[in-house]
Amino acid sequence: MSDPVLVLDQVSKRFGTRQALLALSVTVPQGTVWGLIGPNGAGKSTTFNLLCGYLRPTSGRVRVLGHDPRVPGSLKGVLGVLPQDAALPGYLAVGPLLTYLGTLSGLERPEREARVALERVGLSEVWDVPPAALSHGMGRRVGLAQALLGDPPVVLLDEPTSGLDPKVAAEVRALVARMRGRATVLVSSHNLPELEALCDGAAILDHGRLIQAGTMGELTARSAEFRIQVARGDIPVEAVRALPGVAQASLRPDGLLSVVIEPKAESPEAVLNATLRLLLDAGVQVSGVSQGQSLESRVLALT
Amino acid sequence: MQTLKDTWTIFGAELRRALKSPRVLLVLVLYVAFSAGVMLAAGALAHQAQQQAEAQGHGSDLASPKAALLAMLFGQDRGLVESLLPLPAVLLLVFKLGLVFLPAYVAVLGFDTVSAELQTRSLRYLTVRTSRTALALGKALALGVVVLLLVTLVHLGVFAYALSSVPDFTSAEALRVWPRLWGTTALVGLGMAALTTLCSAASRSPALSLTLNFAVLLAFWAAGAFGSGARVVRMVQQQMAEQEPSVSWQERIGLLAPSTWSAEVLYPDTTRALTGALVLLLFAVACAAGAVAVLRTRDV
Repeated sequence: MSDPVLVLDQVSKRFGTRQALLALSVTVPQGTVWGLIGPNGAGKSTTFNLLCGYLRPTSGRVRVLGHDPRVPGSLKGVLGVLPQDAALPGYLAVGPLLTYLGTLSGLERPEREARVALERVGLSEVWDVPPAALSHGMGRRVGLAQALLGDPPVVLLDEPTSGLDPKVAAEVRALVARMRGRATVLVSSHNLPELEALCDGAAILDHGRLIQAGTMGELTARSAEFRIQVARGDIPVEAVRALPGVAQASLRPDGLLSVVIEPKAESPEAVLNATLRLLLDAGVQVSGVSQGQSLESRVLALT
Repeated sequence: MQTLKDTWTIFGAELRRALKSPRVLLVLVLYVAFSAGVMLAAGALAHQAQQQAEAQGHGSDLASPKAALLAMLFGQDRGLVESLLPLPAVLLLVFKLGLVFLPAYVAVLGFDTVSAELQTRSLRYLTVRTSRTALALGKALALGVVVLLLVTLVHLGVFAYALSSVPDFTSAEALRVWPRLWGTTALVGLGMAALTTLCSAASRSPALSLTLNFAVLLAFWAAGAFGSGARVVRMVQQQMAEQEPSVSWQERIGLLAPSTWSAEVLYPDTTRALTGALVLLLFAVACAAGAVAVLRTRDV
């Protein structure tokens, strides 16, 4: 992966007597979609706010594309942000508001960019509507539009699909997925299946500390184990255990075969294929295969 | 350069927002109604006093009731009272009382200019796009310009009334005195706009910023009253003892109040008047700098 775009280096943040973050170090590589995961109070919002320059770290170093977010004007045109709990400024209608924000971002044609951004979130028709008149979901989409104004190289999204209906949420996920490679995106969310499907990697926080960070494959141990759901047939568990590269195999009464791959195995996929071939040759009918743990179970186990 | 450009953009947006706000209209109505009330009351009183003075043969000298009123309003300085005597009483009354209430009008106009956006966190959409310096300056400038518009409208009205109701008050005299009266009020207004922005930037809740603003105004008023009281005592002592008593620390406390310096701007002595204007300008600049510093330092 390429150079990190978002860097938190030994960052701590204290609010009075409460330690919100403790010596957090996380880097997010360029062009990736990265998740920020953790239970309530884990420090996700604080991390997010530090990266946006809303908060000043008590100690440590924060960098966004090499810029210190607290340096005045350093994030202009660099960062697009969708904050979770910030109301849209109510003194302008949506279109003029986005144009105003685009002007402050230093865009050459702010009105045109505002129209493009609204179109991307499917809300061209709300140009003259005051933000206060929008529904929650529409407000979130307008918030997303302002974050995407002018295609900034770094985009931070806090709960981007919260309060959206399933269809719009899927559109937003598709929109974020299309940004992969063109922008570096950090998504903070409680929706773990969504993050697992969307993100290249994630950082898991709990009680202000980093529990684990890495690619989605590393986090879900995708190359370390797999599970096969058997629909019908006698499963030759001992034969599976004897396969090269298999460290452990166990069968649950509901027909779920769990296989742990030896760390030294050259190709986890080869072990999976060999196991499937063995089962099919034995006349076993397979109804599903999954690699690693789900992100949800991983996070539940860690936090 | 970028900060200046952004300040201009924010100033434009904030000014349009303020001019569309019903609150500006409300404050204008209050300000005009108050000034009109003072004009009517002062006009009647001045007419009565003038008749009384002429009957006693004082005309418009230092022993007249008008001179006593001016001494009460602007201090016991003989030179200052002499220079103000030819001006219509209504003009001076509206000017003086306007200065007393102007800070409150400005506080009501702009107490939430930053604090409301801190409370709803809508300021977060702006701070990632521009410097907080540009934000504070743009908002303070917009508030200042709205205050200047209100002050100008009210002064135009009062001068027009004075020109139409006081036969001795000519257009030439009006043009001569306008810069000093309007300029003083404008400087005080700008200072109060900067102070209001500072108080607003210092608190996340609009209610708290309004309370803080009025607490500061009260402190200024107390300092001014304390200082002018001590000054009157010194002048009385001076007249009785026929020697110059030293300036007490109580009188020096009065120097902390902008009202002390706004009175200085009226002095016929140009150096003294310019010093007063300069202090008022410095007060505005210091408050604006304070607003910038607070907004740059604080979490949003």
